[in-house]
Amino acid sequence: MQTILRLFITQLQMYYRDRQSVFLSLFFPLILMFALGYMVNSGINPPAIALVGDTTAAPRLAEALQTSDLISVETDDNDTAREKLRGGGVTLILEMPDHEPAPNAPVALKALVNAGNASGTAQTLALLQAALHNLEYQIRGDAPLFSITTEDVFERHLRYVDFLIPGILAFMVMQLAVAGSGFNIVEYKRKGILKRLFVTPLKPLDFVIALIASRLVTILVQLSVMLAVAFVAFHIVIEGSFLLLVAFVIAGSIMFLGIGFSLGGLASTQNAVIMIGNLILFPQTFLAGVFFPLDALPSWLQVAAGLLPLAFVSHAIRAIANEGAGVADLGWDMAGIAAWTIIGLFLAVRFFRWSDAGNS
Amino acid sequence: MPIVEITNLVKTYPAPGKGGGRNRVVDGISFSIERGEIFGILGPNGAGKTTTLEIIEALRDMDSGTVLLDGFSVTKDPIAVKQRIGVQLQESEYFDFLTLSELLGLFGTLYNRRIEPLDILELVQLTPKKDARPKQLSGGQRQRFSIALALVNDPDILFLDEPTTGLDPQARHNLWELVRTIHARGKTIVLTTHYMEEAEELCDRVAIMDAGRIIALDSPRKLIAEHAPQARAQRTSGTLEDVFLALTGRDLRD
Repeated sequence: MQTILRLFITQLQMYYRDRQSVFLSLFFPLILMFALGYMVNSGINPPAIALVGDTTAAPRLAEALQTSDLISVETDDNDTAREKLRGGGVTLILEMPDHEPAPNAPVALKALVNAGNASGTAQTLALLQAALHNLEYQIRGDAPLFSITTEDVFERHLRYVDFLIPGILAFMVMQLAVAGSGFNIVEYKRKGILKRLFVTPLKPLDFVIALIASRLVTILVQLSVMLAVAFVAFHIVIEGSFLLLVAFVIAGSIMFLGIGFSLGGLASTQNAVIMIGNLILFPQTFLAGVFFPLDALPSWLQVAAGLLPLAFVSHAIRAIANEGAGVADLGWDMAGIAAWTIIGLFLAVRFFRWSDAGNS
Repeated sequence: MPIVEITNLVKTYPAPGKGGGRNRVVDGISFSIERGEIFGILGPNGAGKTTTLEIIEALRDMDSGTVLLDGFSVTKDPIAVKQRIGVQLQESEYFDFLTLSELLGLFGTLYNRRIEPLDILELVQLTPKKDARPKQLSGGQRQRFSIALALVNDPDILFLDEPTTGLDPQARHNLWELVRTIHARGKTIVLTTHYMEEAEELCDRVAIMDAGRIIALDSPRKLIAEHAPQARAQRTSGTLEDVFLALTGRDLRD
């Protein structure tokens, strides 16, 4: 026990003294979150279009477009507008007619687009059409035949960022845990540190426990910083129990630490562990529903992807954060995490070697 | 009773290439090491010295045979064996970001001992380096620190694997002094070396290994009398090493 405690404290001490990696390990998740968060937020802004030509000739049209909340409108001269279209500042240029349209005569409007930006163009055109329809109803004193009001079944506002942040949290759990165990073990092995440790009566299990405990502490600190920023900068809401969420983060970390240890046992060089690590981490990043929902995948792949270690963690964290899920709703995820933890620890013990069994 | 008793020790490794053949790296050796002696294991690279040492240290399994250390079997009671031995490995690095005193304290804890790092550092002349990190040490200092770490559990027997390989003459002579000092404190010392002069200088008995077998075992003096009785062309002068030491002095350079 004393041995475990001393090793645990020593590991934390070494970690804290490695300023460069402390900085990077806090910096990386923040960068990731801000980059994705920014992308997401900028997507919410209405698309911009530029009006060119004489806006005074058709004042009602110009005014109606300018006050529409579906699109944001700026008035430019021809050259500036084209420049902006090329640079992506606006997605469409609308040439104004040179006279006020007669009440019932059709008016031909000309839109200039950048065909390279297909999805932006389509979205903007649809919104422009909608804005023009609104204007048409006003002019004709007519009312639309159909109207749609949307209502969230969960009665709250779920943004993409709310979907994303639990995913990033799960992703960081995997990343930090595997890097903290697998990569370190290989380094210790290569430098002969493990061999030197096992000259002493140290038991492998004590060593593994101390390492898992110290990594767990550093992971929790890193994730707390990340979560604090998510609360402050993105106002994320956790619907369910925060403690339950923390419990899943801890369980997920232990699972990935176990998987990381088996990687470290399997690989004997730093390069090999990075390759094997990527082989395991990379597909999970895309298949476990971290950054986007899995609905787009073929169903057989969805089933397989749902069994990945990361899928259980990201699903559970997201269910707690977005849907307020409780312990009773998460039985499947708990079973999955438990199974992978057992597999990971079994393989970790099975493959554990203090050296790359050489010939000397 | 000898402190180490080895009987018919065999260790094989898979032969390189396919075919499932195995190389007998240690090929049925038997010998014992007496309490309180300095015992040398000599031999060319690949002779099986390090493997033999690591089996005695309970670091590797054997294929067959028995190894008893202070009466404890290294296979059945490895923990009891590890409690009683101090080991300096051929090459090992230590955790980055820890100082010498912290490393000594940590390794003491691994033996459930509370130790005074400064006492051990003084013995190996590293007191001024107590707050340095292993990476900041010179080759000779690093070897002395390895020996310091091997002493944290106050072992009965100390294993040194090529302790002077790569050291300059000053550091080598200084390390010999250290070995004698530790020996004078009543510890048995087992070392491997490539330097015959070192074996002759330090060892009470030496075993010469080649291709996994022990081909000679006796005191250096008797081995010389038996295998090389005719005197070499008499030197009227010293060796080049004497010249080097005369010119550069015996003071440590690190």
